[in-house]
Amino acid sequence: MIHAPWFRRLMNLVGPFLGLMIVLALFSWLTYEPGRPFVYLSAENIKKVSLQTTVLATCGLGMTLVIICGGIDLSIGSIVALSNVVVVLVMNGKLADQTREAFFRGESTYAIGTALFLSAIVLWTAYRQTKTILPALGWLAVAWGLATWAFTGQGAIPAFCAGTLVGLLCGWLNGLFVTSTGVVPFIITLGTMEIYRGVVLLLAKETKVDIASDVRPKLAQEYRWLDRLMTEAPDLEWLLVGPGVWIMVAAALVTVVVLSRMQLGRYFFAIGSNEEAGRLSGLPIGMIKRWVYSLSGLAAGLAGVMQFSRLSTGVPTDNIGLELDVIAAVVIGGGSLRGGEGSILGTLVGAFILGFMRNGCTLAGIPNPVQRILVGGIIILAVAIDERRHRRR
Amino acid sequence: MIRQLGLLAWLIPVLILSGCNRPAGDPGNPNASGDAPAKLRIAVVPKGTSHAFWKSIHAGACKAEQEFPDVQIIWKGPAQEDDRTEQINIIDNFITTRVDGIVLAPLDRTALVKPVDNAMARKIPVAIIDSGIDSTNITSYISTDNYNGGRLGARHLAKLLGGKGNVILLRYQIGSESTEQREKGFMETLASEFPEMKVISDNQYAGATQPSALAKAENLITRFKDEVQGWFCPCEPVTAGTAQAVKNAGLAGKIKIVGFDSGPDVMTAMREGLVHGLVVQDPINMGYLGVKTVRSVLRGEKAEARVPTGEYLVTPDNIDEPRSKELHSPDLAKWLKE
Repeated sequence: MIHAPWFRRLMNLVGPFLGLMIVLALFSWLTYEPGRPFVYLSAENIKKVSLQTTVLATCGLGMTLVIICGGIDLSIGSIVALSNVVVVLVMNGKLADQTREAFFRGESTYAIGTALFLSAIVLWTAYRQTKTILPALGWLAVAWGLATWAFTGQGAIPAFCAGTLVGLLCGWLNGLFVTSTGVVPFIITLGTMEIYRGVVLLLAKETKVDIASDVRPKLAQEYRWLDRLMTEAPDLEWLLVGPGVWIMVAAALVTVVVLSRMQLGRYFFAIGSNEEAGRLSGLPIGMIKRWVYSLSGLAAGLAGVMQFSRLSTGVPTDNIGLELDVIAAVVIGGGSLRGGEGSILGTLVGAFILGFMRNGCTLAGIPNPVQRILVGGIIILAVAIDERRHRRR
Repeated sequence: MIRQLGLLAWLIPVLILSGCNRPAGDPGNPNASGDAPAKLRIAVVPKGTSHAFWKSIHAGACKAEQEFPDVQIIWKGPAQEDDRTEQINIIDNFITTRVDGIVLAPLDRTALVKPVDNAMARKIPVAIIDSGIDSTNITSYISTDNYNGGRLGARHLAKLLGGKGNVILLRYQIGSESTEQREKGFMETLASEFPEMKVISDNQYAGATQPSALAKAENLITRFKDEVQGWFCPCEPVTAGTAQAVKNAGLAGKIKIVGFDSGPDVMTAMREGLVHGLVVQDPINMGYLGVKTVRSVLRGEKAEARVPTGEYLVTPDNIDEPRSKELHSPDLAKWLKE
């Protein structure tokens, strides 16, 4: 290997993209057939792969933060399915009714009681952290208003908000369980993965929920923006590809700013590399962890909204095993399961490596079993190369 | 240097694996490589690739490929039979490669509408096989009458039990149109024609695979083993899982099982006296007609909007008749050349 400083600088610059370029080169070779148009790197195909990868990448943003903190979130797949179903229910204006039926035997008082109980926990945790009650009360009032408006509303905008909010709530609960029980996040989120899956199945009455027939015509009119979030040909042509992809990119930019410019981001790295040191230097570990799991849930909720736009229906059994793909994307992108390492750009590249590989396998006519072996091989290969890069540095 | 070689050692098998599987012009048809480029490329997308049923569809598609020298089929389905996203991606990717036509067994009646519309908008004809879709913008719908199949099953089970008794319906999976039609046909026929047949459980879903069906069936047996006399399974993995569970529980013959679709496991179970009736479809014909219809549309002919493929009853009595054999244990190797 060359050891000149210019080479090392070049490697650090293109490093995250190296794996992606290898995959692109490999599949360009595999999909090239003489006499047929070369489509793998065509604009149309890149558009398609970006749409196919958006749900994965969006979840990856949150998972990167969690992994930087030295945690893990296995409940992602269930949260995406929950958010997906909630979106459809709010579109139909049925969420409040169905929640009452599924969880509270049709009694509103039980539902309100549960909500009050949750609010009490929020207040209590906020008070313990900050020793002040007024700001927490204010925030809680805002949260109540927003949640009531979204969860009892009907239409595309409440649906969008309810989908992301329910993700946020699930994530916050993950954080609460992690910090209050002291059990490792792997076990907590393994448990909540099952819990949220059960919740979404119950909420959907164990079947998939379709957009009601009286709402369906509106999908072509006032709700069009939500239905076409993940379209190939957006109404605003200059967007080139469905707005969902740009939402993901915007969310990624925000996450980068949080990670590199804000105190909270520094804290993530600090407790990920050495939690004990963080504790001793007075970092509010509990609050940071609740933040990070909440953000991960928020990302998954957003991904669930995008999943709706892609499926046009709510499927409570979908996305089983998505969390493993997300973890793979983060790890390929240089995240370390030991904590303290990871980057948003890397994760995006990791997600696109997976996306381009799956797409390439279909285009090249590679059968499923071989595709799985390839994906597995490339995950190991990518991480191995990354580890070596790190050791040398 | 040695260390760098170590990494290369990883890369080599990956390259070899992918290289080996590179289709040389035409997967599955060894004598057609390097043919004229005028071949019609027709993608056949099943719901999954692991069940025997899809192998029969594949065989039917290959049969069409061998009958029509101007057709080349591309076989690709999602690895898991409940992965809607994956199936949507596959269709999208086939649109990118500009296949000439698509034969699709949709995993979901609403989720696949957008990709099918995309294909039709790009003048790629799409024939839907096996399960329906909530769209009229398709070339043709070629399938079994699943409701009628469920009715056949209900009548056979009633005949086996003398018109009365307790039965279980172990459902397949949420949102799968074809099995829901069978379940509906079964339930409605029992309700309208056999008032003395009681369904003691019909709210359990077996899930996509035989192991998950086995686990569900075992639990149901634990709960209902003193009451249940008959059992209806809406598809192959559920039948196989249930037969295995009944066998493990030592209840062979005490619970009459009527299943749907055949497969090697299920046929063995029938010969062992575990399964007492099977409603079978004609998947080879379905795959064949799917490809044939798309081809004829591409050649400028008109297609029927709805093409039925027929449903039949296989019982231990007629298991060895030639027509039944053709349906329940077809000679796939003849077409697949595997």
